[in-house]
Amino acid sequence: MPLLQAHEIKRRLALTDQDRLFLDPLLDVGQIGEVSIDLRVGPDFLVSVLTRKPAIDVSPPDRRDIASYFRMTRREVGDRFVLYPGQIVLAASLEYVALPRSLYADIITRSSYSRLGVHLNTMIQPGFRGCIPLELVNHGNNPIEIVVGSRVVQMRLFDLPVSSAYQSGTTNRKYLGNVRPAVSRAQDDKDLAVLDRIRRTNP
Amino acid sequence: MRPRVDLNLVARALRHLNDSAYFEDRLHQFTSHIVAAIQHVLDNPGVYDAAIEESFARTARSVQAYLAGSTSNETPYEVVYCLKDALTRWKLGGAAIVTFMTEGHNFHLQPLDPWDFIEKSIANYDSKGFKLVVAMIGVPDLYAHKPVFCVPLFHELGHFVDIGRYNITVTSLALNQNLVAAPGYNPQTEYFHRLEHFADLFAACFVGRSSVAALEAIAGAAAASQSHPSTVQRVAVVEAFLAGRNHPVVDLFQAALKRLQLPELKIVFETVDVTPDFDDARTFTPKNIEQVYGMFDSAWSYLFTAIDQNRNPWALPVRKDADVESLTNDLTEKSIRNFAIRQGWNAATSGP
Repeated sequence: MPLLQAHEIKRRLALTDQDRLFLDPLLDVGQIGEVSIDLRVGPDFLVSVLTRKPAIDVSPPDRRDIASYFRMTRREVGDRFVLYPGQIVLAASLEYVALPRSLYADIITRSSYSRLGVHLNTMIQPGFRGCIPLELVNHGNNPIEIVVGSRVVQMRLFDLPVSSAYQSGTTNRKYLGNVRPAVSRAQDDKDLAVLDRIRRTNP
Repeated sequence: MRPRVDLNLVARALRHLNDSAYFEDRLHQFTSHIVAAIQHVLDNPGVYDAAIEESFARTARSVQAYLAGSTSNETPYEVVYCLKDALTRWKLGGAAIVTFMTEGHNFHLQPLDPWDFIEKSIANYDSKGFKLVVAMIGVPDLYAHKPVFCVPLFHELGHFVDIGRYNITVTSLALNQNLVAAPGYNPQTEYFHRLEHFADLFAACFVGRSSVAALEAIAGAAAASQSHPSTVQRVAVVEAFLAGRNHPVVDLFQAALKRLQLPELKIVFETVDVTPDFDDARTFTPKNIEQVYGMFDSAWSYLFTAIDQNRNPWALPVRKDADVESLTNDLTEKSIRNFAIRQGWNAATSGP
C-alpha cells in the first residue's frame, strides 16, 4: 500500500478521470508536503455541552438524540475558536475532498498542534466524498485558540492495489457528502438492537 | 405593553445582543445607536408624541427580532454573500442584510427602514453622522442550509431595492398608469402587481428561471388577486425577459430605471451545468460570481429532475428523495462558500 508522495499527489490532483484526487479549495499549493497534504479547519463547530442526562446512551430503546449533546456554532475564516481542555469539538475540514476508489487516507494532527495537546487520528475510506471530519480534543491544560482556516491536520494518502467501492453493501454510507460537522451516528448501528435483545434474554 | 415599557425591554435585549460576537462591526454600531436613541426617548418623557413613541417601540421590536435572527447561527450565509454582491450592483454596497428565521414557509421583506424612522421622527437624537441602510429579510428556518430553496430571497431583495430605496414602481406609474392589472383599472392593484413583476425580474437577473420555478412550486395555480398577478402572468413576463423578447412590463421598468439613473434590468448570471460535478458528489467550482449565480438555476434543475425522474446519481443502495435534496443543497452551499473563501484568500494574498 504505497504512500503517495508530492509528485504523485500533484499528478492525481490534475487528473480529470476516475483516478482524480479532488480537493476544493486548495488555497495554497504549499499545503502539499513531501508525503501529505495539510488540511485547514472549516468554519462550523459542534461543541459538546453538558446536559441533565448522566451519559450519552447509544443503545435502544430509550435513547436521547446524540445531537442534543452538541451545539452548532459558526465562525468566519480568520476568526478564532477556543478549544478548552478536555472538551470534544466536532469540526470539518475547510476543503471538500473526493477520493478516488483506489486511495485510502488517514488524517493526523500536524506536529505543531500535537505539541499543543491536540490529537486526532481518523481513517477515510476509498471513494469518500465530503469535508473531512475533525474530532478535536484538547488534551493539554491550557485553552487553545484555533484560527479558522489554519492548517491543523494533515492527510496521508495510500494507493490500494484493488479499487474499493464507497457505496457497497445494502445500506447508505452515513456521512456521504457532509459539508459541515455531523454528530456521531453510533445510534444507527444495527447490531446495537441485536446486542440489546441479547441483554434482555440473558437470565 | 406600553410603548415606554417596551422600549426599555427592547433596549435591554439589544444591549445583550450587542455582546454577541456574530455581528459585523457596523451592526454593532447600528445596535448601539438604536439603544442610544431609545435611551434618548426614555430620558426625555413628554418630548415626543405618544404616537411616535408607539411607532418607535414597534420599529424597535422588529429590529430586535431581525438582529437576534442574525446571531442565531442559522443565517443562510452563502446566499447572503450573493445578495450583498447583488446590492453592490444596484449601488447599495453599503447596505447591511439581516435575516430573521421564520417558522412558516414564507420569505418576506420587512419594508421599514429603522434608521430612516429615527432620523425623521426622533429629531433631537444626535447620531453623530452614523447611517446604515439595513435590509431585513425573513427566511423560513427550514431552509437555513438550503440555498437552492432560498432563491425567493432574490425576489425579496428586489422589493427592498424598489420599495425600500428607489421607488421604482412608483416611478413607473408616472410613466404609464394602466398596464398590468387590466381589466378594470384599480390604482392599488396596479401598484401591487407591478411590485411583484419588478421583484420577479430583479430575481431573474441573478438566478434565472429558478426564480419563477420556485414560484410555480409554491403557488403554481394561483390566480390574480388584489395583491399579486397570477402565477401564469408572472412567469410569462420573466420568460420573455430571459428570452430577450420585448414585453411591455419589462420595457416600462427599463424606462423607469433610466429615469432614475439606475442600472437596467439585465441578465447577470452565467449559465453553468453542475451535473457532472454533482453526479460525482463533488462541489462545482465557479470561475466568477456570475457562475455562482448560474449555479442556483442549474442546482434547482438538477435537484428536481433527480426527484421527478427517480435518479440515483450516487448509486445509493437505498435511494431517497431526502438524500437527493440534502446533498444537492449541501453541494451548492459548499460550492458558494468555497468561491467566497477563495476570493477572500486571493484578496488577502495579492498586492502589498
